[in-house]
Amino acid sequence: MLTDLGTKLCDLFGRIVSQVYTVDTMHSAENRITGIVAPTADRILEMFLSEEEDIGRPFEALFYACYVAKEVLETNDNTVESQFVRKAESWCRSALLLADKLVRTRIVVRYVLTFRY
Amino acid sequence: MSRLLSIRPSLQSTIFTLLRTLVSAPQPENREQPSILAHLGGEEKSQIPLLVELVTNPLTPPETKVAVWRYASGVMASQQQGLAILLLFGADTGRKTANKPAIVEDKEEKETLLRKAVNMLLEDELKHADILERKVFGKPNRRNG
Repeated sequence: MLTDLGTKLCDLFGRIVSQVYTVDTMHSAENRITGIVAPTADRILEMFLSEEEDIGRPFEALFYACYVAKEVLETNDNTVESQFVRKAESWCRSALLLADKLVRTRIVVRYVLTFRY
Repeated sequence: MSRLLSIRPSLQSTIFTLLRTLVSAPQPENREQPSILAHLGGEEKSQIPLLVELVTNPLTPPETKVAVWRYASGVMASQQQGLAILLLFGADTGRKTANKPAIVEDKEEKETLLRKAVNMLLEDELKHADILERKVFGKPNRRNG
């Protein structure tokens, strides 16, 4: 259940960030066709990439998915691809893809902010 | 992630892509990039042979090979000097390397990523050596002799 939820959330966050920052890049984020979800994308970026201590480093939650996948893969018999193993792997892959997307988008967002001011 | 690389081949491409992004990402001002070598905590001894194995194994999926080469390229271009030395020469970092020139390590016929890259380039180039020779130098001189 946790793995399913993790996979869905990672995919959803990744999709929102992609839709906002890769579609119609000639306009500012709020004026794009996907502008309605721009504040959500900003919030996701802020949440995962903020370096403030009070947020509690949510980026590490993505690596937690890798940790869970490692534990599952090491403890389960890999000769039988159980459903749980596949789900853990799927969560891990989604988390890694989201992490990659967030780091890449940070570069774009920083550039836009520098360009504006 | 380092452990996942060795136990789950299907995640290798994704992991190397993320690692490449992390080493290539610009850092805020006045801050050094965290050392990946330090995070590996001794597991680099198994990771470097894995990288060499991945790029040489004909059964490795092409996207994984591309991800590995891009990761290696990202490490070379970043501030990860320790990891870059390991990838290039397969040598230990630190005092031992400081006392012993890297070229000495290289002479020990170690299976390093650099050696593999050079060998691959040479093999690839030799296949087209005749064509290249003709293109660059015109017809070979031996006909004149």
